[in-house]
Amino acid sequence: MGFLKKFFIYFLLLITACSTSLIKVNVKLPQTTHPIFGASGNRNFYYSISLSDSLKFLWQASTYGGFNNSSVVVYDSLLFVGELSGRVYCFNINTGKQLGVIKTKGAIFSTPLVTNFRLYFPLVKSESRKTEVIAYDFYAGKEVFIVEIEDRITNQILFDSDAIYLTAADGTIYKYNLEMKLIWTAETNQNISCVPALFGEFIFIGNEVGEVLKIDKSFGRIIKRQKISSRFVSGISVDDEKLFIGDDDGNLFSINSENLNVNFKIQTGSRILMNPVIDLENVFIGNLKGDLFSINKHNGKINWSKNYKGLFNSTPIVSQNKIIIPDAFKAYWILDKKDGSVIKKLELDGRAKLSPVLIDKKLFIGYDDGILEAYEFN
Amino acid sequence: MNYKFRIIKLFFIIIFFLYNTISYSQYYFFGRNKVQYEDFDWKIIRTNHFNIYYYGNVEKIAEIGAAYAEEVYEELKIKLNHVVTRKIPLIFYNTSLHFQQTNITPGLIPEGVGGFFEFLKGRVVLPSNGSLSEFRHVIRHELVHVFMTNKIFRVLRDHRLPTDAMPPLWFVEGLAEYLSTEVDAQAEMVMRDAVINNYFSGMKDFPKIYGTYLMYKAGQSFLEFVEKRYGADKIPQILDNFWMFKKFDDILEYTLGESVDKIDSEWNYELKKKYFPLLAHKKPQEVASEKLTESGFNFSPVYYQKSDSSFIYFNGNRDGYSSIYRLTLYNNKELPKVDLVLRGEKTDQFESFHLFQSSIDINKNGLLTFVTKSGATDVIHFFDIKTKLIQKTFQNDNLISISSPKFSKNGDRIVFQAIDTKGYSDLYIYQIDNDSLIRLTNDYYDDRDPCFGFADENCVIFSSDRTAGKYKGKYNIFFLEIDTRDIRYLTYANANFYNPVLSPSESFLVFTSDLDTVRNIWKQNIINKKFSKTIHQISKFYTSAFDPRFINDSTLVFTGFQNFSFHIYKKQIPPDSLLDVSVIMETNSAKGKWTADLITQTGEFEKLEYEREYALDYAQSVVATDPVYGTRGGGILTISDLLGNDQYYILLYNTAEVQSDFLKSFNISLTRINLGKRVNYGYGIFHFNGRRYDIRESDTYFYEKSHGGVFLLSYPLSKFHRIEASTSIADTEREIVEGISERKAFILSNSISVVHDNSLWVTSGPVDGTRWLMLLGYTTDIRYSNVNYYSVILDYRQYVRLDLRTAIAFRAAIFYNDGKDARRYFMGGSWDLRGWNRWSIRGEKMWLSSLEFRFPLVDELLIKFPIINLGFNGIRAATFFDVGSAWDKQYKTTYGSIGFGFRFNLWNVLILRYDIGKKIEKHFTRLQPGWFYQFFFGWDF
Repeated sequence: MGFLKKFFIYFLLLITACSTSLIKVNVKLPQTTHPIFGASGNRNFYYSISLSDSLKFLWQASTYGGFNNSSVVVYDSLLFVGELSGRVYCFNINTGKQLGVIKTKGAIFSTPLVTNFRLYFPLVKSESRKTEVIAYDFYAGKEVFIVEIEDRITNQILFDSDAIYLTAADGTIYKYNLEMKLIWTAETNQNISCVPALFGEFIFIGNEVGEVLKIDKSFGRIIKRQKISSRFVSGISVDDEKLFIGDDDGNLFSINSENLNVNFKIQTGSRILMNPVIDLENVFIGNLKGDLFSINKHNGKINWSKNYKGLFNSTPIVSQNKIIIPDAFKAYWILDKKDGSVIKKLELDGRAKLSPVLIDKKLFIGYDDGILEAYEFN
Repeated sequence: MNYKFRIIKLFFIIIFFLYNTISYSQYYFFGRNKVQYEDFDWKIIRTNHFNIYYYGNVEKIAEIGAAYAEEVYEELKIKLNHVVTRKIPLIFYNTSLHFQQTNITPGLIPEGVGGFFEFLKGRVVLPSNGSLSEFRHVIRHELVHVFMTNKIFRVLRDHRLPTDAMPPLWFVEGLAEYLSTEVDAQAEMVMRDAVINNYFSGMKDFPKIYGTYLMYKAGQSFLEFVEKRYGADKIPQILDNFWMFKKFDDILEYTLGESVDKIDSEWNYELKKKYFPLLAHKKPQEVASEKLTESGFNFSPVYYQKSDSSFIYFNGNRDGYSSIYRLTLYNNKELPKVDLVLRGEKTDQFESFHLFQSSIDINKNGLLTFVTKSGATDVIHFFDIKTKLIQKTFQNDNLISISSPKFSKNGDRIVFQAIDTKGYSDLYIYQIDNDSLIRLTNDYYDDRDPCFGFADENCVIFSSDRTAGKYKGKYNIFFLEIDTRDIRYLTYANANFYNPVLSPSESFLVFTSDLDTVRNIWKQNIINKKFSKTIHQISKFYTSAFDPRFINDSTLVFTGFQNFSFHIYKKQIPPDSLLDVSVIMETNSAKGKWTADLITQTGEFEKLEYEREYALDYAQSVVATDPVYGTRGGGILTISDLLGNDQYYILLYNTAEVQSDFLKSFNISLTRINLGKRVNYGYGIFHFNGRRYDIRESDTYFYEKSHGGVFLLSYPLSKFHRIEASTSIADTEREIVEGISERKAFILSNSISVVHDNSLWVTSGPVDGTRWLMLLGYTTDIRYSNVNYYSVILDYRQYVRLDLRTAIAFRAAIFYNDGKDARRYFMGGSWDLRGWNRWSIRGEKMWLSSLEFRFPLVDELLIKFPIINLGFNGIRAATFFDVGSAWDKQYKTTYGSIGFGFRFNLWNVLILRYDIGKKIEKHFTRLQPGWFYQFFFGWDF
């Protein structure tokens, strides 16, 4: 069975490797969309849906390169995913059939942005320090804009109806309109690996010297910067005027979005790389030690914590009743969010990489060697 | 060695080997032996992330090692944000001696190798060696390699790039040290020495120290600098960015945000800023004491006085072999004379002296005691310096590794450290006259460097890592009552203390300690047999001192490390009033001993018996053309078990030259080699079919079909001697004219040989020792009686060194086949009779003798071109005289040659040889007119 599976994968790789570089699909205006990493600018990774305990495998597909800790994006029935060998794939979300692939030279770390029949993705060039940001019209099947940026963009894109925000590794933030016209740049003067979030009129982001910055999204002015920790590389998530962010020392901070003062701090015991995940009452955070915490988002009280003997570096999602968390030690855990008990463990052949995405009870995950899988909750 | 090159080489060796086992080859292999003294009964502990392989009594150490490994795994997964998803095989041995028997790596493992990570199957192999802290360090070091290589593999694979790229070795080993240990006294010692003595000044010097201990520590120092200047997070980022650039320097530059030149300058400046100020208050050993040796590596001095003469005995390596030397002290300023006392590493009795690990001692009667490896275990010898004979040798099967014997005051017993079959490093007393052995300690603490205490009390003073409390695991000095086995602390500090030795007057104790970062010499006063709580610093060297011994109460001899070498020094002990650095020991708060954690028996934990787990080592296809065997294509597949003991070689190739011959030109062989026990054996079957060219028979091609089997046996008597035997049977049919059978034969061949090799090599070949081989063989056609002859080969090679790298080499060999259809031997060319056409002199009988003078010519040659520089290291030269002859029935003539040549070592893979000379022709009566020029490859004989 294992042999047949491998044969199938290699066969698919061969087929995809030989395919042309084109995504051209006839698609209507979408009824469902999941345009960016975390679905929306506040990046709470919350799905207001109740999931059953029963899960059905739908399909498996593969890409040529491997995945970063990003996610797929969805536009109606189209699923897009970027990968580290510089390709963006388009699959049908119901069948897993590959509908097209854009081949480039470099690596795509970020989750693409999909909006208005266009894909936007930063392509990090090898043997160079530059990034090309490509806008691709998948209805017409062609690149419409390419912008070159003098640094690496491996961070996640922020999107705000008529503008996209890109964060370079050197801490420069760029705002472009959807025609890739530069609106402003903001120099933060510190390296940034933190995934930014958007709330109201402001962008919030942490940097590698432990500051949290509040930036006016209209003009790119840094409104406030507050030293909070030693180093932030996790993502920032926003909920009801509260920012949540984890640091390299294992602390989860709740921060007032107005004045950037710390509301509370919880020590989890190990480095945090993922985005905190927030539902109506709680915030969930995992660390590299394989611990997952459920914390009351209002008062910082720990509801429960559990160790799963793995490594949590990719952001989970939370629904009304479950948490689905990727574990680099070859699994996706489906947990009861009340107490963290294991409802199901999806065992994989490699490290879980993609943050899961839920569309109409369909679950999309991705792991080592560019394997993409779809499941459906009954 | 280049991996692909190895595969191709192996392919040809196997073809060559199989062809020649059926007709005795004139080529054979010398080399030292890896002797499997033990028949290991392997078992497995399976944990969440590891399969731990252990044997015999090593279970407890294996459980401790398993706990360490799981702890390290958890730590590295967080630091590197990475998981290794397969179970990592960890193979534990109880001592270096057992570790050296592993077949996981094919070569001989030198002393001092603490463990290794084998890239092919991802195996980690290491000995415990008695010290749990060092065991933990080596596990961490090797697991960093596992994580690093796995992470780089994943990064490259995710980006769909070739996965065979690796960082430079200094980074690989530096990272392993950086993530596995603090900067300890040894690291500080080598870095101080290198920077202050100006033989290492930054990244550009890494090639100069390639593969050395200094490279490990300089790599570690570089990463410490990166952490300090750029942040600890940059180090895993270097691995994350590995896909970005082909050149490692570009990756460094991008990750750290500065040019490599700038990074290097900053590091160099940091090193100098850190170490140069030491010179204000610390001294080099040769300034603050008297240097007694000038060359080589010299260790472990002991003083002996006989009437008016004073001597220092020590062990060292001054010429390539570890040995024991005597240094005669003179009262004037004349440099002491050094004499060789006992030569090591040439005989089975003194296989190795364990330099730097084991000290020696001498009693008042002139009985010298020292440890050597001899056979399966270490032994303690008692050598009478007057008669120059070994008086007695102590060996115990349960004591694998032995160190540092020391005499009691009256010289009738010794105390020593030994590692037993459990891997425990404990203390023992051996009574010389009645052969009684007393075990003093029996636990997993590393008890070492023992010496007897007060003469009228039954006590031992020693160093141990049994320290408990806030300085847990540090090596302190302890006092043990032999009768009660009570142990108490003599020192207690956040430092390591070693080499305690009591002064002749028993009024103070001297030892080394890294209290001031590197190991210096300290003293502890004793009043009325009470040890003072205050210790005083005797030496203030900026590098380390080891093994202090007394000449008298006011003078010490010791080993010192300075300017990248170890020498013997003599130092006066200043009076207490001049000792301005003192430290008070906190012995009042020192109690008990720590305990090691064992692996928790949860998760996937289970204990199993080992069953051979086979996996593919490699599979490689080769298409090759050569002048002897023509064009052939095929593949080789090798499979072995996890411990490397049982190996299968499958060879399939085709020698068809036209399409119609394809089916009948398939050649296949299957060979099994078993190395698991002392007797190594192999057997195989083969079927060869195709056109061949046999240089020994004629200059024409012929077609031959042959199939049969072969059985091989090798029994190593010791590291230096072995007996080899082989039997093969082959049904052959040969056609010279197509369609007409020329010769049918059913050949049975047998041979037995004895091989010896204790030679010492430099870059182009041996320069010291001897190598010889005696072979007897018999070949007969048991069905058609077409073949029936016997074979004798005698080959003797002697190398006599004139100085370290200059030698006279002599070879005499006889090759003799006699009987029906006997095969011919051949010679001529760069490997034997130089100047004559390669393999042009042939006969059933052959003799050959060569004499060479080998010497170094250019140590380093750097040619600067506008774009690149081309460098050669170790260019050597030789003058030679060869003589020999070959004949069938009647001796015809004698051939000779004389000349000189050059040898270039290319990356330790290939020696290029260029010879110029004159042949001696016409029945050895005249030199050829003009000169011959011959270029080839190969090691010196």
